[in-house]
Amino acid sequence: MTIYIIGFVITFLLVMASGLPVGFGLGFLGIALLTTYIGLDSATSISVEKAYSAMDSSILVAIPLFVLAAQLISETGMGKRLFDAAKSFLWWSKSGLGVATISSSGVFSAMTGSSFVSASTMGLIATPELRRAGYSDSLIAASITAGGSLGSVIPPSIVMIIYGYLTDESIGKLFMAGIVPGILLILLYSLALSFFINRHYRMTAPPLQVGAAATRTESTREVNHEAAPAPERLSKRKALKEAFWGLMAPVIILGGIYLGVFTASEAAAIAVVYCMLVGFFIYRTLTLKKLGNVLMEATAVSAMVGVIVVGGAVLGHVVSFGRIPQQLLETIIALDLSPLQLMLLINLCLFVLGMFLEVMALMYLAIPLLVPIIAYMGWDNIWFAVIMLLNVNLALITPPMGGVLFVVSHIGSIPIVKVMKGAMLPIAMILLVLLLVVLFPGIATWIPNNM
Amino acid sequence: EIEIKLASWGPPSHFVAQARADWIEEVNEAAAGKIRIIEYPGGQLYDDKDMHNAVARGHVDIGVLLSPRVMGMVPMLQGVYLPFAFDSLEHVAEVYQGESLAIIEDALEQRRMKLIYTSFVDGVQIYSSNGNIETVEDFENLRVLSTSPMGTNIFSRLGASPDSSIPQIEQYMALRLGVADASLNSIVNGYFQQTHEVAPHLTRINLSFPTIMVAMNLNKWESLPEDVQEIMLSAGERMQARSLQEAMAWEAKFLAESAEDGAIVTEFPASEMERVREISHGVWQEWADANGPEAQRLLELSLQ
Amino acid sequence: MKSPTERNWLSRWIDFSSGVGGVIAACCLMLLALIITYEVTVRYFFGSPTAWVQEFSVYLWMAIAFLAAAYALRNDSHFAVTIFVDRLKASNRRRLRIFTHLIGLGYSVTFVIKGIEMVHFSYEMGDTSTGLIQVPLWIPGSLLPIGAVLLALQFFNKLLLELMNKGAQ
Ligand code: NA
Ligand code: NA
Repeated sequence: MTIYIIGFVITFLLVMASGLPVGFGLGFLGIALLTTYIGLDSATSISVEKAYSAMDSSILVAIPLFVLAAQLISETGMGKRLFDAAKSFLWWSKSGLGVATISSSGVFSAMTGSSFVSASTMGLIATPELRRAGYSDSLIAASITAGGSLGSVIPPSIVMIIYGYLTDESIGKLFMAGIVPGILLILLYSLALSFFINRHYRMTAPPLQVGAAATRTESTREVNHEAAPAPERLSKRKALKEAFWGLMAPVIILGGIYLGVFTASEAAAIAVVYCMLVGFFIYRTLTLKKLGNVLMEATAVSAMVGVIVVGGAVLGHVVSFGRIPQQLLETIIALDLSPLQLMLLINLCLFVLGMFLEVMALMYLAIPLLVPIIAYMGWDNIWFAVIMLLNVNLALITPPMGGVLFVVSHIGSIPIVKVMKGAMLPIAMILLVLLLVVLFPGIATWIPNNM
Repeated sequence: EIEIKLASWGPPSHFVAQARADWIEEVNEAAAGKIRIIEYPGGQLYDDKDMHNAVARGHVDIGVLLSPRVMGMVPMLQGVYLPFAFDSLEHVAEVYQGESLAIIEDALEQRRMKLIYTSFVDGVQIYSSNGNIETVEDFENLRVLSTSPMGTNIFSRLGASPDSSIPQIEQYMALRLGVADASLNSIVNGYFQQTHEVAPHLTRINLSFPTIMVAMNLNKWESLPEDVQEIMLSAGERMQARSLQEAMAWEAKFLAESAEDGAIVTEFPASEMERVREISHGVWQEWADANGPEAQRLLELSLQ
Repeated sequence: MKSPTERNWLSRWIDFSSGVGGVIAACCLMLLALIITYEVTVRYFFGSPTAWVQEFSVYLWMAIAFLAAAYALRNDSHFAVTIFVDRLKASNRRRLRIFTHLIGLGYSVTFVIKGIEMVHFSYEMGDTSTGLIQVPLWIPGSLLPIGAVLLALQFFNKLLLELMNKGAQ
């Protein structure tokens, strides 16, 4: 089995590095592996039909709509106005924009419950603004992946609903259980990010001011601009007025969701129509030609995500089929460890599996395997749910297979290595929170137990 | 020893899942050396939406089917899932016998599936957020989350606003936020899905009775030695009888637990039920007319 | 990519077919936003939710993703890890690209063949959706092989251009 796993990892990395688009590579690898089990004919039939049924899912419908909404927000100038407003209020802190990105992603993730959607939307809106403010690529990636990874911890979350269903747990309690870890994550992300951003400015600002880095003239100007905040402060009122219609977007969306007018995924369509109306009739920055371009661009991004969903589903299916995770966990349980050792080892396994699997595949594989262990060990189900959710979030942003990483890299035109480097920050923070939750279960269970 | 892959979905602690685990163990013991069934639980390979296609295609040997999900491929199953037509689980269990069972089995075999055994679960009830349903008039403008075409049709005729725009996974939030007023669920499933947390008014109305069927790909089934087939069927028969007992026991148990958790339980009055049946009858008949003489016969058998 | 004049009619035709897929997909996206907004409006203001929007929105999403896959490939919009490839010698890079285009071609041809098989099976079985409008499932199912044909053509196009590119390297 060890040899099989090593072989799998090496092949996986080779396919990823070959330059073949990742979605196609994953699917190809999945079909090739399944062929070794059941022959080419069955393997290809099963994979193609699996691919189709993975796409036949109402959860995914929100993706193209939120991508389109995000592109409209940046194309109509709403995004820029929003960031100008944020800047005029956060003039005192250079890390303000990064923290604003994380907080907005938190709100956005909370609304949509999907990390993919949150990462692509925030990626489209925030990347140009962060770049203009002189952030390095890895810092941009750190801000957006961190924000995107909040999706399934902060309620409502699709992952929690699935967990509640599979384990007979109160979904309301699960939602409550995510609140403290979610807030903890936002705080830790913001603190860590501020530290690195301030260090980044300390290190890059002087040479930039001398003009040594000719390639970054635009950021130079912006950095200097930031250093002299006085004119920005004066325009605070104006900035707010300019940004009003942009600010109304999240108000309408969140308000609509919480007042029960529409569901979280319907909010995407409402956002599209709202942004079009503002772009055409209020800001008058949108033309039919621009709308056409934005539609084509959003379509291409959606197709890219679709190809990755297909590849991930095909590869996930073969991993289930081969029962590799089963064998791994059975081996561990046979080791006769102490509860803490067992818990840490299970987390290690989930982490490693999560490196190679997507969210749904990880959930469907791990929960049926782990539920008997939870019951046997007498662990608190809510506590374990939060541990599971944190691991699922990690899976999204851990290389080599991390959907959010690919989206951020592609949308922000940031080299994947830089994105992975940036993602180390949220990964480290999630691991820290995970350790805290393992050691102090009260972080997860206090609110739901006192409801 | 032939390895047989069985794909299932749903909570592993559900009584149907536990009975299935016992069935697998029993078959594996009795047929040791000939076949060995391996279960892939929790939707790892296929979920309820895709299972019938996977079994019919032979992508998995045995699959666990949820009857309302299979009706697109096997319309005859609608005949044993008619909304408001059955008043108790025993009534449904009678239909899964004799001539009507033969019609269903035949319809499944035409779609390359062999029915091994059926598990019964408790009936579908109405969970609503603003008060229980006591008269036909209470259906007026009720935004009820409906998933079956015939149910949607009948609810419209009852004056409700059946809403199929919200996927299963979002129903909990939709009820919680007030996007919808009511949803349809069995008491056991409703307890698992925590429906009573967001829609505490539980009206017992026995809308319909879904069944969970263990079915095998027909080619694979025909390739098995006869004694193995016999082992599977007779063990299945026992599980089917067991599920009937357990379904009723679990319904009672979870009814009590839901009530303890704050669910307000009422019974839909029999006199009002007559009015509902009258309206439904036309819809049943339309279905039978559209699906040929066997459907007509099945309708007669179901209504006996 | 070469300038249009240098490219042959076949390559131009394939690019055009990918573009058509992309335009249809974009129309589906606009339609998707509009029908969901319509659904919310009639449900909230008129209390009469539709019975078809949820089902059709999934079909539209599949149309977007499947039909635009080739368009995205044409525009190099698919995410790929190229840092290792970029460090190769030009001649080796070309060989590797030919190899990966071949894999892509094989992958999409698989989806064409098995996709047609899938559609054929669901047609034979008369499988329909379990929604209020019982849509025969072979209709949305056809989106997969159609998208895969466009994709196979585009991979073939890329392969062809790379092969003809030999002199330029
Ligand atoms: Na969320
Ligand atoms: Na990962």
